[in-house]
Amino acid sequence: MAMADMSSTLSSAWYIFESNRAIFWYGVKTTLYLALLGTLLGLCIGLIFGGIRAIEIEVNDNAFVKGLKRVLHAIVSLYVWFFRGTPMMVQAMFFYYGLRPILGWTASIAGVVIISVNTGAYMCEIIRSGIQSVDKGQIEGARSLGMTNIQTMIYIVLPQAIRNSFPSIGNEFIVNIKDSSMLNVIGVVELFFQTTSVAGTMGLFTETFLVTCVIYLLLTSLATLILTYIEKKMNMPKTSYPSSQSVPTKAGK
Amino acid sequence: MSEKILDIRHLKKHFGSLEVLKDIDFHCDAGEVITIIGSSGSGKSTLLRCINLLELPDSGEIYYHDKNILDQSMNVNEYRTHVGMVFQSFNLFNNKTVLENCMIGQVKVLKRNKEDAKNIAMKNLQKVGMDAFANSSSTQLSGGQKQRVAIARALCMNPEILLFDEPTSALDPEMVSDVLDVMKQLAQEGLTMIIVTHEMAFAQDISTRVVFMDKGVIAEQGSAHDIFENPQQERTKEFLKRYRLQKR
Repeated sequence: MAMADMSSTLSSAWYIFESNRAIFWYGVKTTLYLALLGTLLGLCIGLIFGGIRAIEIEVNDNAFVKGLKRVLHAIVSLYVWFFRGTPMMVQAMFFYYGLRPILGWTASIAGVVIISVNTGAYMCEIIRSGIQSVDKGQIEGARSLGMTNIQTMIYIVLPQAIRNSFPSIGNEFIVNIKDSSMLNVIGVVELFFQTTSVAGTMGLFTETFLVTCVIYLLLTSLATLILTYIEKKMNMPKTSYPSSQSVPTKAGK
Repeated sequence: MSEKILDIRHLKKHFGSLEVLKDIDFHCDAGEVITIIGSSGSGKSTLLRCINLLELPDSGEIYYHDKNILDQSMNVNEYRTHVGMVFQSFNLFNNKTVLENCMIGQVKVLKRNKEDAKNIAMKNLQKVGMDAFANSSSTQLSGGQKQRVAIARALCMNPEILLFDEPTSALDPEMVSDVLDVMKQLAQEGLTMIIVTHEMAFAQDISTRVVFMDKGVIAEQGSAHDIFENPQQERTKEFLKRYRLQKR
């Protein structure tokens, strides 16, 4: 009995998938596009804001610089506090409708902006802790060569911070594949949105959402595989052993 | 006779309630090789770190060619290119190769073009015997190799003085002599150096002047012969005696 139920559920699910391929595919594309763009733009925001957060107020700063750093720190804290402290679904509704009269934006643009800004708040913390995990000696080494605070940040600290926090950055991408589904509330046509419309027309909720479960699992599994691969690549030493070929003969003389 | 590069007056520094430097007067002339010795916590490293402003002194003056570098108007980054630093923990950039470590300061700070920077880097790597490792990642090297690269990196900036903060303290014993040999060679070439070290035999051998610090003050200074063979102060004698006992 139960066996018969299950096999009929599976065959209906397969039927639903077959007959609505194009609709699902459209949803998958939008979901991936939101997740990828949201993670990358979020990372950019995180690099800038996380960098600002990690800048320390130094004793030899003059009053203006001290004040400026305090104001920047306050802005970043406020941003992180708000976007981590409210659900993305609520942010989507609030900003999409709130800013539509001013910006006149479409749901898909608003969707990208909201997921980016939301991810940025998390990235900010990821990058900040990544920066703080970089050995202080690296900074002293750079400063002893006369590099400025900003040069030290860009050339020495941030590359190492990104490498240290790559697993967490990748995790945000996985989270975004799933959480982009919340943007259906403002009418972004992503995978969840497409699923509800298919389920509505077919009248079969369990079966349709089974299809969507499998699709999400495939997407997140694939993303995990790719991220693991990149992580392994990053941890490989750049070149292995010294060799006589490694010396340019001209400069060696 | 020789030109005075650094002149430090009434330097004071405390960490919390601990007074690390108590009114230090110190100077360094061109061509001098000064070693600073003393027990741990005597303020040697702090003095060295104050010289290139990795620690900011509480009060006092540090004159570099008659300009007080503690003035607000001084460009600290420009000053630091003249005063190189070699650290106990090497502090090579982990995200860069050996060659890149030696080039980045030249390119980004001194604005040399890449070709020149590379040639200068290779020349200095050759000097410390690390040119064969130019394209290795800096994380793959042994401690002694890292420290030699760190010396090359500092030399690439053509510093007027090179500061060494216990350069061999983090090394395995068999690596120490490699690094000391490089430093001896630099001394022979006439590079001005200030070295904080626990290697007494090396200090005796290389120094034109030895400074003994104790509890945040310079207790005694003089030629290597004066300090090691004929110390005047009781605490200097005490320190050296303790040191010789430890060595046995």
